[in-house]
Formats: sequence, structure tokens, C-alpha cells
Amino acid sequence: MAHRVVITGMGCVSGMGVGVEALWDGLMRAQSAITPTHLVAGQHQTTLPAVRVAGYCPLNHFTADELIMRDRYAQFAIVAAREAVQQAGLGCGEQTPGDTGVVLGSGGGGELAREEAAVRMFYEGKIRCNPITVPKVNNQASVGLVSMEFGFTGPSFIVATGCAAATHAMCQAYLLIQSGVLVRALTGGTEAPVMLSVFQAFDAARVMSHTTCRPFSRDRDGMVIGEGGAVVVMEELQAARARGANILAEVCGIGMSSDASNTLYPTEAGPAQAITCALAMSRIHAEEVDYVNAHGTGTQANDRIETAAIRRALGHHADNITVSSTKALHGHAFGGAGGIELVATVLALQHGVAPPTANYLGHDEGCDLDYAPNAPRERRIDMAIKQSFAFGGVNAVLALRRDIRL
Amino acid sequence: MDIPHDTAIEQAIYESIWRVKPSLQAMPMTPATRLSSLGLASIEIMSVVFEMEDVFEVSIVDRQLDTFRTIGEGRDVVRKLLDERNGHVPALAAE
Repeated sequence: MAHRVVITGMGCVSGMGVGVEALWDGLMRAQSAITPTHLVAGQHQTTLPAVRVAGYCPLNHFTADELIMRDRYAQFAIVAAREAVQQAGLGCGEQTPGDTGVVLGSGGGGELAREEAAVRMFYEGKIRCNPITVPKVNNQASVGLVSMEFGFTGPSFIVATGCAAATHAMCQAYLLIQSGVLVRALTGGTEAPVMLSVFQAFDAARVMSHTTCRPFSRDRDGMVIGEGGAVVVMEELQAARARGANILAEVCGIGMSSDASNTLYPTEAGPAQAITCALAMSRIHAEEVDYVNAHGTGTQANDRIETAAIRRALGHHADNITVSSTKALHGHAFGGAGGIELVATVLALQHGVAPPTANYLGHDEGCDLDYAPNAPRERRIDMAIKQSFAFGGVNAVLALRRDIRL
Repeated sequence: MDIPHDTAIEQAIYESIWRVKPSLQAMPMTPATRLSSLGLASIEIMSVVFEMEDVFEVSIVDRQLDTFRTIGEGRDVVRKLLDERNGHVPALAAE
């Protein structure tokens, strides 16, 4: 028997600030958090547009002792998980710890600690490395720390598919609950990639904007890196109802695919296949989709091909939906992006408002959908799709429904 | 490099411990304080040794001398390594 899966809590740390409310306020104001950011490592430095979490002070969330062993990316996961667990009303004693798992996405894990160690060894000439580097850089540190925070003893693991990591992780959490392995999971993603070595690598790959992020717009010139993470509580429907949880949305299906084509250049077919799979699993028709929260990085290739993929999957109905990318507002948080954007998608369902695609300058060839340019778009949203893609041609999609159908 | 006094070495060890666990600044420590009494996890003790190596620019782990139990024993390990590096013959070895 396939169990139905719902979302009962959400937490978020983004360029808009700490908390789900800060994210939504920022999205509705349509004011981008992208600012020129100066980065230094060893003798190197650069300034590029980026997004850091607004107002984030680690000591407001952790003791000085705890921070010694928690890289920034893991901090985001814990802070977001606390908010999600609180909203879901978990931890009140009625749950069995083994029924709950932690499944998060993170592309790079503790990369800040890794860069610090590299500077120390290769710039400062030190030969020994602080042993605490090991638990800080581990990708799985985030899920381990989240499980310890709440005492959940179900399976915990990290999915590391780069920019699709959070969405892939949420797909895995969905499947674990749907198949009855878990009753609930804390799931989403986290990343703290605002650091020189990451910037230099992506800049060398010529995918970074030196101005700002303009998804689907003319004159777009690349992505802008951001940081942050989000965690949602996914839960089996009957279990959620039994404990009187407030159901925020239903996850009605997922789709995953591979382009199997090229490391950097995406295809139209791969993402379209993932969208089609998600709709098929959800048993909904393309015509029922109201809103797509796009991957929308702001690169020339992604946005044009993503538009074509949406058209291929949804057919003529693509002209009736609203598509938006919120990355122009909070930046691209890589393995955390899908989590932040899923929270935005659930809020769009609840409020009946599609978040805007900010920094939009006008129509560009090959990008011919309704992108809610520069301002939120009020509209009824019953069904929504969240999609994420990553280098390597790996694609993940979640289909969400606002109301529970019997 | 001048060899620091024992009290200076002890102070540097205290500071190494505080860098690994800042809350221990509130705990009185003496050379007789055992590391096992400080509530440090094994990796934190390794990190204290790392910090000591960094401050004094000595190799404690490579010499397999990271088995000291008290701050005073740690001080003696550091003094031995500093003496060796500076060509001093430790008093005990000369007897």
C-alpha cells in the first residue's frame, strides 16, 4: 500500500533572513538580497555579487562550544530544522524516535572548513591539520547533528547531487514515507558556498554573473551564489491526522531523471521526463498544474532549456501557468536551493500568490512563459511543481497539492 | 626562540583548551587538572594537542607524546620538545 505524504512543518534560513516568514516577506517585497561581496582566502581576493543570510548571527542560535564543531552549512540545517519541528508540533512525546529520519541535500558539505584547512596548509605552510576539520567538512555532519538535536533514530543520510541535492533528498524522503519505511522525515537541504574557492571555480566555468541574477530575462549573464537551507517535516497523512497536525500541503508525486548527455550542458528531454514522471506518479493531468517554481539559475542555457522542458512536459497548458525563479532574490544556494524554493512553493499554494522573478528586464528569445516578472502574481494555485537540475544532467521534481483530496 | 617559563607554557595550554571549548574559561584549572575531568570528547582532546603543536611549533603526535593526562604533564612534554629543539640537554637525561 502506498502511503500519502504531507508537509506539516517548514523552516528556512535564506538571504531574506532567518525563518519562513522572513523568506515570504522578502519574496513579496521582490527586493533582491544580492549585494557585492568581498571574499578573501590566503593571498587571493575577489568581489562578486552574492547573497549571505541576512542578519544571521551564529551565537544567537548556538553556544560557543557548539560552534567549534559546526560548519556554517550544518548550522543552517539545524536552525531550519528547529523551526520546522516547532511548526509541526513534533517532540511532544507521542512520536516513536525510530519512525523519523533525516534526509538532507548538500552539494559541498563543510566547504568553509575545507577552505580554511587548505589556506592553512598551502598558504601558511602548516603541515598539521586540525582534527576537528573532519567532522566539520563531512557532508553527513548536518544530518547527524539534526538527528542528535531531536533524538530521531530513523535513517539519516545526505544526498549530494549539487544544485538538485535538496530536491533529490526530498524525493528520497517522500519514497521512504510512501513505502512505509518511515512515518516522517526532516528533509530539505543546506549549503554555505559563499567562499572564494567556490566562486573562482564557478566563475572559471563562466556561469557566474558579474551583475545580478536575471532568470529568464534578456541580458541575463549567469547565476549568483547564495547561502542558506530549508527543512520541512514530511509525514504520512494518517499519522499527521492522528496527532492533529496542521497539514500545509500534500506531496503527491516525485520524478527523477538523468540527461545522460553532457556534464555541463542540459537537455530539454531530461527535465521534461522528470516532470512527466512526477505528474504520472501524482495521477494528475498537465492541465491541473498552476505554478512551477523553476530551477531558473539565470544562465543562458538553463533558462532557455528549462522553458522548453516545461513546454514539452505540459504542452499547450504551459501558456496558462505561472513560472517563477526566486533565485534572483535569494541567490543560488546549490544543495540548499531546492529546500528554500520548496518552502516558497508551499507558501505560494497557501497564499494563492506566485512569487516574482525579480531583476527581469524583458522578453528573451526562447523564454516565452509567464514568469511573474518583478512582482508577485496573485492567482489560484491548487497544484504546483518544484524542479531542480544539476551539472551532470541530474534532475529532480516534486509535485505538490494544496488541498488533501479524499 | 626563547624557551618560555613553565607558567607561560601552562597558560598557553589553558588557552589551547579554551579555543577548543570556550566554556572552560569559567572552570579553574591548575597543572594538576586532568584532561579527562574537563568533559572533552576524544576529538576535542586531539584538537587541544593540535592547538599546542601550533602554538609551540612542535610535533607532539609524531613523537607519540600525546599520552599526557594532566596539564602539568602536557607542559613537561612541551618543555622537553622545546629543549630538544634548542639543543638543551634535559636535566633528567643528563643525570
